[in-house]
Amino acid sequence: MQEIIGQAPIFIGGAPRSGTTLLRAIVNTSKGIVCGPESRIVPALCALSSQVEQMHMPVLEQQYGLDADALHQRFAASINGFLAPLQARSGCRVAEKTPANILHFAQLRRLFPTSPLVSIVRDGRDVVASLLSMNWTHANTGQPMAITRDVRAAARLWVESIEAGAAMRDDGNYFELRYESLVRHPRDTIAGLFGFLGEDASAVEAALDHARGFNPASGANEASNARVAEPIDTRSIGRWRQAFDVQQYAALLDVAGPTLSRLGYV
Amino acid sequence: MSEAADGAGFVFLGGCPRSGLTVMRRLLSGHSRIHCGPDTGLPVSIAMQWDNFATQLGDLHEQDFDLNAEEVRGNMASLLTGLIGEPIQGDAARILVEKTSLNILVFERLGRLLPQARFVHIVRDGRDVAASLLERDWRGADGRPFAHVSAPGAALKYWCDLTGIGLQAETALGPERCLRLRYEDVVKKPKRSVTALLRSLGLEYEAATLNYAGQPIELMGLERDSLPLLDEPLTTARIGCGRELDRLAGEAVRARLRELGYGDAATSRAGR
Repeated sequence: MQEIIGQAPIFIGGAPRSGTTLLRAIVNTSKGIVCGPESRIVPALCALSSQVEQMHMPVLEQQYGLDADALHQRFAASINGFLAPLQARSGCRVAEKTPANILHFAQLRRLFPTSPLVSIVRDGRDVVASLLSMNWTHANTGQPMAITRDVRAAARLWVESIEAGAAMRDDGNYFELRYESLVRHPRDTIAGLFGFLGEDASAVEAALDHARGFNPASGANEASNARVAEPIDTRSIGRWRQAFDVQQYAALLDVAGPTLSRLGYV
Repeated sequence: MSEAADGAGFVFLGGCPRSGLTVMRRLLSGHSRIHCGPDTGLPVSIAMQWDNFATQLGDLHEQDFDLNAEEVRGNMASLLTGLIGEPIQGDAARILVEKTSLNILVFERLGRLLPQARFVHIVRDGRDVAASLLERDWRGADGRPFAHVSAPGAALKYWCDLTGIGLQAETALGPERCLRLRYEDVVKKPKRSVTALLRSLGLEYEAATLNYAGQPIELMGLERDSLPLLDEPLTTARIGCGRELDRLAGEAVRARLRELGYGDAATSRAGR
């Protein structure tokens, strides 16, 4: 099913505010891959497919002639259907980068057995600090999202995202990179990513100048476009130092301390 | 528009839970050209997801992904029909009936998602529905019983709210696409009711629909709540089971009962 649009789509994810939009801009400099802004389609359909699989599979299998493989194919075809116009316009392999994709990588693997899955990991303290500066609201209620107001909620989302990526480490088609490596050593980090995606060395050179081709007007759901339109720098590393009071930092470590330690951030 | 994306051959039943939808499955399953399986919940989930995509992300998808509204609709429509339509795949003469009761919440949206789909709103006297709801042990994720299976007033209001949504959908879809069927008519005059329903779907009556007693059927999920009644011939014994709740019916419930042709308790009892 994943051959519908030529090659299996690439899925990019990570905790929100981890550098996924920068990653999109970099991937878009390649000749063979197009990555739209976050569509939010993939997490929604993955969640729906997981829910159906957990709750309705016996009914579908016994009474509607639909087994789990067929269920996966139907959802993969639907996701492909949403990505197909972008592929047709660009003639390129499609990458989809909604941050919450990371939470559904295990299900995406069932839907797209050969798709590359890419995640970006950033220091959870910087992620939480950045989340708390966002003014995101729930579309239905208009109320602020807890992850933009509550240190613990933001830290839990970061931990959940890291754990979802960690669960994929034995997957041969999973690639994880660090935000800090990307901005400190962009050439080597991009070369590693592009090697994984099958892009050549000339693509790496183009990616180092990602800002030239980035369109900050695209992606109404992306909060980092103005920043991503600038050349890569390390200014956003360590911003957490000015962000938290003592209580907030303690709460963050209470939730995310072990994960930060395991990743070598503390 | 492909058949898969327009909903031709798909019929959705809906109504307040405990209104007789599983009885309808029992009847329709006997027809040679109908596949009517257990509740899947999928029409509700997919219609609501489509609505979210269309209302919250429509502009974004059009601007950045070249996805127009019709492509989004067609894609979600194909997903739904692809998931439940295998039993009628390749046989244009067969009809798939999906009977998740809460389909009623999304009849209007399903009508836009699948422009050729048909709908049947099953209604039953709200006092009897409430009485049946109050016999359930349905609980939420927090382990607590739902209010509409715990408190008579909440059960009546639940019925009133859902039938109100159903009536709005009937108006929006029009009589050509949405038929209303009363449980009481089905159990009192089953042949006439089933024949009318089948004809509205372009099918002829088959005796096997009414002769279901003793025929094997696998009931799944909440359908099993109705198990004691579903292996028996149709009965009118459950009509009037909620008459004691009549005194609790407020003005809104009473108005809805009248709107659906149910008299007050005294009249109803006399009629029964």
